[in-house]
Amino acid sequence: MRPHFLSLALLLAACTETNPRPPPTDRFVFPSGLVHRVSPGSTNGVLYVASANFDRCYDQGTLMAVDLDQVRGGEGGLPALGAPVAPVSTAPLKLEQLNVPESARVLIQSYAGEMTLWNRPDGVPRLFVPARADGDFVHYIDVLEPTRLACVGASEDSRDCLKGALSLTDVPWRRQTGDNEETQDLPRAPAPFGVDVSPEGDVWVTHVDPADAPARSNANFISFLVKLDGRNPGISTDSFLPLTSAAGQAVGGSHSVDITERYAVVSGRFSNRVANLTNRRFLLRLLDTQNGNQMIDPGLDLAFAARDARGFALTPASSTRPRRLYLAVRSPDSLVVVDAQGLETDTPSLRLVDSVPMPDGPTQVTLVSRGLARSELVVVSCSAAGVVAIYDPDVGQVVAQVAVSEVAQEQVSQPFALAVQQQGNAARLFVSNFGDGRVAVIDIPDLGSPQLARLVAHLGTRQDVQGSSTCQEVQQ
Amino acid sequence: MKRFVMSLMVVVGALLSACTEEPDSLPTAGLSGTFDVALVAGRQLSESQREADLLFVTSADRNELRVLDLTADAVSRGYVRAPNPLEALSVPVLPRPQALTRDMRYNAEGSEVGGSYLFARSNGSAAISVVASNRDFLREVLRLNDPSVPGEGRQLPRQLLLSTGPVTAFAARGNEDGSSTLYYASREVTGARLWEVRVPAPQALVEGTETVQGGALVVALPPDVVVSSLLVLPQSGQLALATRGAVGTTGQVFTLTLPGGTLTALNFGGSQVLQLATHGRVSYQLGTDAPIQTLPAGARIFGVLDPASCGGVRFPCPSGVLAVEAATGTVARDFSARDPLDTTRGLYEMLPITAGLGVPMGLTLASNTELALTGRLALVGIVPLSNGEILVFDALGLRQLDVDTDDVPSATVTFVNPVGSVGIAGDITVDTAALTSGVTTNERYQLTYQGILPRMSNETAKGFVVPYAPFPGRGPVVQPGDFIVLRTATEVCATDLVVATVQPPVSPATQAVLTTNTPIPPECADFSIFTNFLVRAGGSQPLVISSSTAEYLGRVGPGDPYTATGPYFFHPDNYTGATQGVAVRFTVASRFTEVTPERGNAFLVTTQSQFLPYTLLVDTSIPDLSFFTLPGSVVEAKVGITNYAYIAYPSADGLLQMDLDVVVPTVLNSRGVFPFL
Repeated sequence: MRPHFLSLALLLAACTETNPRPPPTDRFVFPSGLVHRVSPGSTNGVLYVASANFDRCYDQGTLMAVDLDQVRGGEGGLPALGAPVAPVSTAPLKLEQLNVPESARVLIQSYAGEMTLWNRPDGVPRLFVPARADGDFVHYIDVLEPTRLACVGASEDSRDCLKGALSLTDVPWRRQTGDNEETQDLPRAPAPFGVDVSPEGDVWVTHVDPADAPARSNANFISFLVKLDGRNPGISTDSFLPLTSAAGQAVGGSHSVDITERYAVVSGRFSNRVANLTNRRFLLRLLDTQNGNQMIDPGLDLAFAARDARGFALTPASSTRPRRLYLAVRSPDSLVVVDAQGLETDTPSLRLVDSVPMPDGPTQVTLVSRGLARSELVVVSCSAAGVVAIYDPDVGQVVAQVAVSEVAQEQVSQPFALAVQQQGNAARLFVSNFGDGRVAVIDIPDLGSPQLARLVAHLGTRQDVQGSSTCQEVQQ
Repeated sequence: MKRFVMSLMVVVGALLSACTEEPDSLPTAGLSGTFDVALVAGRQLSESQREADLLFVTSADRNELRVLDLTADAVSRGYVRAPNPLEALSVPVLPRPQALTRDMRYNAEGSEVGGSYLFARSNGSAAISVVASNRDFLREVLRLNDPSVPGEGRQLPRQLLLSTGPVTAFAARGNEDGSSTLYYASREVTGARLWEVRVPAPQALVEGTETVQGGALVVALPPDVVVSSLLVLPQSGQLALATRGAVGTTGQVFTLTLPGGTLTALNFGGSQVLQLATHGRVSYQLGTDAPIQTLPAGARIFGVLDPASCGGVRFPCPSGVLAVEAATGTVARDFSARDPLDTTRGLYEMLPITAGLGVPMGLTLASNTELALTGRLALVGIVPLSNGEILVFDALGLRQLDVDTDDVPSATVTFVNPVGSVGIAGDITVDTAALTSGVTTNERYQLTYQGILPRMSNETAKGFVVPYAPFPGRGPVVQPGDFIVLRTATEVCATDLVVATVQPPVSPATQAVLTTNTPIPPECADFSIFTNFLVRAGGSQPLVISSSTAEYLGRVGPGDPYTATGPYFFHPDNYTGATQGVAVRFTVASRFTEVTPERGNAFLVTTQSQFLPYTLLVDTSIPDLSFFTLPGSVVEAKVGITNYAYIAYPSADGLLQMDLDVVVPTVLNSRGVFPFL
């Protein structure tokens, strides 16, 4: 809702050296996408962190595999998950030594968005990361070992995953002569952002900016959901599935995607470049993967008149409780609760049942399972407020708002992506603090009392300390 | 006549909208996060002089409240100014205030009397800000349960630490001596707790001559619940509270009598309740010559039903507003039909009141309110909805205000094919006399000729196996004479296979096997290419009925009648107590004479309820109103002789003042609305 990201970029865009500017190897730079993975033999697992390099101080962004057993600070490493948390007034641990070896780092394009992991049944796990700087790439990165990464499509010894990445805008069919102007330069997907992968390996990618035709004409806007083969990187016009199917449907960007048994569920973002002629807004749409990729708009905007949407999470299908979709929306800042039925049928039903006020800038949503007796906790990163809100459906309210920075200025930290580690009746949340360059660690020692959630640590070094330049590598 | 009234209403609305310039908003106060509002009554200074009321609004993202001064002079109405009058006054409170409540009491006449304090809380926080709300103070004077508050003094809030769990509900009763009793519920690790805090009058609190006292109430709440709403009732020592529990359970509503802590259940039709409200004493007449009657203060307790949870997988849950009689705890009876022995009593339980697809975002009750079109009403309910509409209902009669004066539902039939659509009358005949007011909805029934049968659009062609009875209770769907159509992902086989027999499943199997005598054409015989099939209706019942809300309602053929029944969504005048009625009834002609349908063509039976709830809409095409799309909570205020609704709009980070006598229902209003940002 507020252009903090843009402001930061403008403020910090004074880095104009022409010499190579490799990104730091020991810290994150505008961390965005996160994935947590349990690793055999590891206590805390591995956290994969994409750095977006949003101020372009470096030539590229990075993806790091952080062995959470190895992170260190003055007081040691991460506390045991499930241990009683300290009072709110206790400062979180500063775990600034990430100890990431070279094999656990690869280069990616700047402006990385979400990230997802495919646990391949017939190969090593594979990460997918869209990035919306020049070229609008989707990266394929293999996890050869928990902290050994390899770029798919690049030479074996290359650490630059841009070389094998797929561009969603620099496509062979662009600028073909004789095209109808209304379809020239289409399909393409500027600013790829959200990503999900099906168990079979279909990779689905959203893009924030709708595509115009011809490019840069500000006319004939359309947006797509991009479907890629997770095994073999490749792209064709068939990879682009339109997110509008009827006249009058709002055109906008798209944010997050989730693949269900049958439908790809996509959240929409408002685009001020597109003049929608109706009062309709693109909040949520479904793409029927089993029926010719038919697009269904469930009309959520007719029930909840928000301006645009961000991330969402869908509870698993269950025979004992209603299935729910939790969607973060802006204007007003809210968590929208949607009852989801029939997601395996021709006629899915998505019905608004509640909305919850959220702190400023709700962005990403994830769930923490609590077994059959309790509803999943719904965790929402609120970028502008600098907090993570925890909504308990059994209470019907936000039960905790955890500030992700010890700094008073709320807008500095800008929490974005969320990853969850669960162990017994406890959970640990990892939150990428896009604004201050760290990953916040929040522990919920007892899932029955989520109000006890506390910020326990920060991973990495602050990038926003006054007087220091984010363009300088911080050596430790 | 009815059409004339409707047309007149639309024209008047359009003219009113067209004749007004865009609202001129005052300088902004910089609100951000306007989630809640609370009205604090001005003090009575003398018999003839009374201070203007103050309207508090959250500015959650800025950790503050702002105060709108409801002066009688509309031109000077605006935010209370700061010591530097160029700025609007900011009342700093706890971080991210999202909910407000004020203390109030009822006098001997049953009228509401304002108190001394306003209370603010934030979801997920144990803290409560206590703001002295009269003009002499307008600042936070006490912070509960927040050890981080820096200190105490005349200008700093005092502290009291009682509970540590997040506050889930609060309400306050003002006392005649200016003190206040705050009740709140928290969710502790050990479960839900109720607390009572006595706050001295502001002057005594600030000067330290009296201390704040509080503690836990001994109340035996049901296990494993939280308290989601609290309400101070006019009856001395009485509160109402709503609970909710873990997934699969349904919360309850109780009255709580203090100091004993006795709980008495109220039954909101088995629904869980999100928010509670009640009213002061209401005087009313049920006719021009009828005697003046009185509805005592607190006689009814209104609840906003929770559409998200009503126990287990039972769904959909009712949505809307329902009232119970406080004396009996049962659902209140509406005035659709009155008891002949006591015409002040209704005969039948009211229905939940709601409109459209939106869910209620707030509720307020207002007495003696002048509305456009209807005139003055003794008690109305105002419910902002998440779809942007503001629903107003008759809270005395407990019914919707139907601004469509035609009571008789209607229906039309059209035939649709790729060429276009045409109205018809003979091939499908609707029994309009059977349509039931209050049951027939605005609905479109589609009869698709040779339509695809439900759950049979994309079956795998490994034997012709399909769901036998896809919808429990509606019997088998597929019949001999239907068509099997082989398909690939992009094309279909040109030759249909006619279903010869349907072999029902043997329990516990649920799939039927279809057989066909039609030879499979060679060009479609490769099942590695034609991997799937679908089934279309044929035989004696080639028309598949669906609607905008139901995937499959049935199938019919020439000569067949079809009737759909449904529950009442509205009690019309002289309602007789039936729970169900005919929503639509039509008959297919034994032979089509008007049109010749082909595969995929459809007959559309469109029913009109002729019911139009009293909903207020804002014209968001006006630039100053463009963000006033989604309302939050609402209060009603009488300023001079004018009834206003003040509605928080979190979508606009602003407040909207709505003159209830001017705004016209069901049209886009730009007149009678004024934004405060």
